[in-house]
Amino acid sequence: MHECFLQSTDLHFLIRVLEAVRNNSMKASFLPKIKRNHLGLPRFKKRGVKKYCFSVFILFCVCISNAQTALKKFTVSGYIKESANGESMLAASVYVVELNKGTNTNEYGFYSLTLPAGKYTLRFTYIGFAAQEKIIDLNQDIRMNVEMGTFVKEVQEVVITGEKKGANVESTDMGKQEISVEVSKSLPALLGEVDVLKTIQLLPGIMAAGEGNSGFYVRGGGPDQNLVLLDDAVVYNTGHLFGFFSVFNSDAVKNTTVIKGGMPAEYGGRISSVVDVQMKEGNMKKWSVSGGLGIISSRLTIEGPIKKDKCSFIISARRTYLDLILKPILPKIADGKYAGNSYFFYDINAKINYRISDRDRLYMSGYFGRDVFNFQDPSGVFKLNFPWGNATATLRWNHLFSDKLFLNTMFIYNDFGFKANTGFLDIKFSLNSKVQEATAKMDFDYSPLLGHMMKFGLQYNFHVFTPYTATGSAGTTEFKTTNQAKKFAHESGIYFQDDFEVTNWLKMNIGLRVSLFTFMGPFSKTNFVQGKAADTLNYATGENIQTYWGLEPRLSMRFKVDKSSSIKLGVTMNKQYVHLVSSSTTTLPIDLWVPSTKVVKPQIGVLAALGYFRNFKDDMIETSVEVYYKHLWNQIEYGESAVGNITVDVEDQFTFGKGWSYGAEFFIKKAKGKWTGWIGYTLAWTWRQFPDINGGKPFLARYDRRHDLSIVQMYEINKHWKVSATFVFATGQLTTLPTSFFLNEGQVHYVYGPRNWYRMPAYHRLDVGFVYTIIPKKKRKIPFTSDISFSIYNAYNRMNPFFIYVDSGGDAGGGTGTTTGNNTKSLSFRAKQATLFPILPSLTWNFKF
Amino acid sequence: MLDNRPNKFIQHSVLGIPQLLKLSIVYCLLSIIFSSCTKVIDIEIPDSAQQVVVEGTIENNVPPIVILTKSQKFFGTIDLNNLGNYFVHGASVHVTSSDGSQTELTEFCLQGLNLPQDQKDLLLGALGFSTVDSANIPNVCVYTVPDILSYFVAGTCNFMGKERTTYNLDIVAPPLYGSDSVHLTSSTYIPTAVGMDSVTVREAANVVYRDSMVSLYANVTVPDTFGNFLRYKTKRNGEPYYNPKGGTVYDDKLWVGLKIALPVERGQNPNADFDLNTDAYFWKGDTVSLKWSNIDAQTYEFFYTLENDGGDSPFSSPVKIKSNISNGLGIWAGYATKYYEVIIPE
Repeated sequence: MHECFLQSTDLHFLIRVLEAVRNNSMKASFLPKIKRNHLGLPRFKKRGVKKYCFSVFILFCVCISNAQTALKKFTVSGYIKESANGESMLAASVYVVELNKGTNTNEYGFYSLTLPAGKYTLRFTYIGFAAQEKIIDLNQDIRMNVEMGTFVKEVQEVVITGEKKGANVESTDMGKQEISVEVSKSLPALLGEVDVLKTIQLLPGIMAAGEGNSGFYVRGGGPDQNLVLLDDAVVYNTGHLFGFFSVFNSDAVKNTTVIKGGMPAEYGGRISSVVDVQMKEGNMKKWSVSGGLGIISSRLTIEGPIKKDKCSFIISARRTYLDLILKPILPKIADGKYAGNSYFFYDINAKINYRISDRDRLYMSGYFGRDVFNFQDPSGVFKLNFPWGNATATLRWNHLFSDKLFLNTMFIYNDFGFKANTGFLDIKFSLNSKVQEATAKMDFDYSPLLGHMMKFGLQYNFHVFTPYTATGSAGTTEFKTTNQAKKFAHESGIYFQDDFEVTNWLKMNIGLRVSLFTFMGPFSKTNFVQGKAADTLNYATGENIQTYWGLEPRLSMRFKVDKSSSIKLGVTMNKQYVHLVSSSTTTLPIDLWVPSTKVVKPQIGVLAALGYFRNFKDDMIETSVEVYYKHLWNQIEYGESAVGNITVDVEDQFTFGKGWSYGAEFFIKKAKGKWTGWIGYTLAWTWRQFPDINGGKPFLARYDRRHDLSIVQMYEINKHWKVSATFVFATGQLTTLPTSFFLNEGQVHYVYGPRNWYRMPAYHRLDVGFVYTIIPKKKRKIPFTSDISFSIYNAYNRMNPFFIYVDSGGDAGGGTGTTTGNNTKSLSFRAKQATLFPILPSLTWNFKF
Repeated sequence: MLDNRPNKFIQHSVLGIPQLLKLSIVYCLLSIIFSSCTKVIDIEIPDSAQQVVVEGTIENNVPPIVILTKSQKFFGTIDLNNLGNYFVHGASVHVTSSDGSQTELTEFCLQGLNLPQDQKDLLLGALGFSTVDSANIPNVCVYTVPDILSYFVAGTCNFMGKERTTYNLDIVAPPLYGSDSVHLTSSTYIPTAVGMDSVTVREAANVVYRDSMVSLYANVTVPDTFGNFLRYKTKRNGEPYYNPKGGTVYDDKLWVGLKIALPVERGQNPNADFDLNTDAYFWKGDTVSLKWSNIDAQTYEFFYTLENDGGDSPFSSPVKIKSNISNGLGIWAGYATKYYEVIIPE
């Protein structure tokens, strides 16, 4: 069935355009004509040959929209939601059986299909839900909202015949995975804390930042190169407790989408990956309370309809309570050495959604989380109170202009702030830093005809970066940092993308993003040379200090080999205008986000990936192999002698270079049935080269890991018992250890070897989890279900290296060098490996009613 | 566990707060929240070239003193009885002043000096080597002016440091490898000795031994143009001058043009037991001497990076110590020093 969208008139039109371009004779007068006749696009001016590519691209899209007028076509559109709670189902598949084609719902559960008039069978499918088929007679535009229920034994699932499409083979998506929060919940978790970011680390190409850490690296990119979104708001710091737990409360999360390469044009601002976390919308049907008690934290979620099927809310909160338990104990142990120390974190997610009409829907969602750390050394010399956290607020308005055009308008505010109040002796210090962002965004989804999914939109962000600002007093004198001005910046982007089928065997997703970034005043800074003020820069409010812009083309293509296999190719270019540079493997709350300035240039990343996707056994088993090469420009690291110093503008401690990485990823997944799971293996190299690091010689990045294997298996024994296991193996991390030492004032000081010269022993670990679901025997008025989840982290107690440090001590003849004063004869230096987590069992009780 | 960490973490040089936070995170995380397990591992060190290390000082009214050692391959045992092996002997060392004067330094070794044991100990202490074993004094060697004895006896000699003067150092050391001798150069500046206004003794509140301990503050008027750097050491009663554990150097970025009361931490024997309860404080009845020096930017950078190297861990990265020696390691430091003495009342 060759339902080509280009009718003969359109073909002629396109040929004219192409000829005009080939002859390089496109006249300015030619284009306004198009404008009048078609989409009302802005008037083009002849700007030289370079612009033609873009023009053709736009014209191509114009052609497509032109095409639809030729045939009598109608649109079937609507929302797909879960029948149990009214939650929107994103990426659910809508499939036209007769045409062998289909589409997916967007992230608000909306779909739109434009087809020639006729009778069709629409099939709605979603993993874990009973498929539904609806027969429609399309002779006018139809609105069809569908509610899908989970698969129940009594209901006979629609028998799906051989032509069913495996989404992974069929789509142009590369390196994209949807992780349902249910998967995270059925896997063993560190200390029982279910963490979506740790689940995504189990995918090939995504590596954990360190033992038990929720930070991650994607295909050799840095930790700041991941765009982490919570309901479209950027989350600047994803970790609680210095990164050991993510800020995402699994009870409030509906779905997580990971794009580790081939980022579509709708995403911008980061060069490595996208992790898009969607919060639940709240039950539209009935009130529900769920929660859990774990060894680290407790959670409580309340959701329900404010007005049934019209308006609902969800509020979810969690808090750790180790500090409350330890508070009475700490003063009594170790001579009260640890009294005054405490740590806790909490977070709150809330969301309201309101269906104003069938065409309009409003969402308000927010996140607020804080970590608080108190430290006091027993002598009272030094005290530290140290709160930090993120806040986000998102207001979204979905509007349907027509059955084909969907608009999502968003206003977002998000910030990440950190404070430290310290004192030692008579010096009191208050230090704070903050990154704030206000965003306005419009995203259009346009499905002009079957086989086309267009997206276009624009985005504007206003950034405010508050660097370390210190105020304090020494005795009676007050002081504050004077050389640390706030930095202001505008960032905007405009994009267009179309995902369409060229022929039956070729599907493309082409897109272009144009981004613009301006670092603007007010700003002032004193530059120092040898500690002396060399010059002072002063910019007035609104003054343009530095502007960067860039074209970010995105392309991915799917070549279908046969029904169950395809080859995909993707090339994307991304720019990143805000940066986080960390001197450590984990991103700590004290690491600063900085904008591009005259000193710091935007990071640029180009990724090329080629993949082979194949499904077996009627899509029961999905497999893929992807190879990639990534090149990174304007990479940022701290200089070799950089020491955190709040009186120096952090960008003056940076040094700049480039990076490249390449590798192959292998993936086998079984997504359906009682037994599910996947195996991912990555073979990769990650390089960096900086003129001022390692004598200018290339070095392997700290997170270069040659082999990375994850095996994830889940098995549902019966309706009570679920077991799961994960096994990870990774080549050891790299580290820079001293290779020699020298003496100064009688003390030993280190001279470090080449950057990252030492590779730690390999990392491997097995986790096992059991979930026992208690199902009440009798039907109660309020159905109360609960489950007990038991996890064993590091089941065979592998002593994995967390880091390696140098231990100095005396030999047997002289006692220990650091402690016994003056009869030491010799000092010995040994490398010691520290392990963080031995075998750690945990128990969590979850309930829902 | 991690017995070398507390020294590092207590580096509360105020300006290095981010570093300090990281180190306190390491300390707290590891010692409070989790008890980490450690084991010794064998590491094969790649061969790295040995380098000449300079530890040179020139102070106002003091002759230049230069110690030359060799950097050593890491891991294994440093035999403190054979420290003598580390010294570079037979180098030719010249110091030239911006006022035109110059001198060639002569090598003196401790074993060759005809001095009583206690004076040798004192000399060792002054050079930063804590007394090791009275039977086995390491043969410490220094390069200094030929008429050094006249300085010890009469307090003066032909070539001494002067304020607001630049001093160039030129060293030709015997070959470490092959037959090429090693040529090192450096330059340092002795700024103006600004000194301090006064010292304040205050009760040490919130301290375990609050009845017997006090804290000291130096009242300093910081000049109103940027570019002033400070280094201090303290001496308690008969002890040698020691470095405070929390760091010895300060710059003026926060305090330019202000009058401040800067807490003075007690210098401590680097090899002695570290006690958080007494750290930084002085005892009532102590006679405290302060060596209060203004230094140039490179000397500040050297000590600032040296004192803030937290090693490589998940929470920090190694710091390359900034040296002002070309073709070698270490520091050639000019000090504009003023000395103060405080007797703390009982």
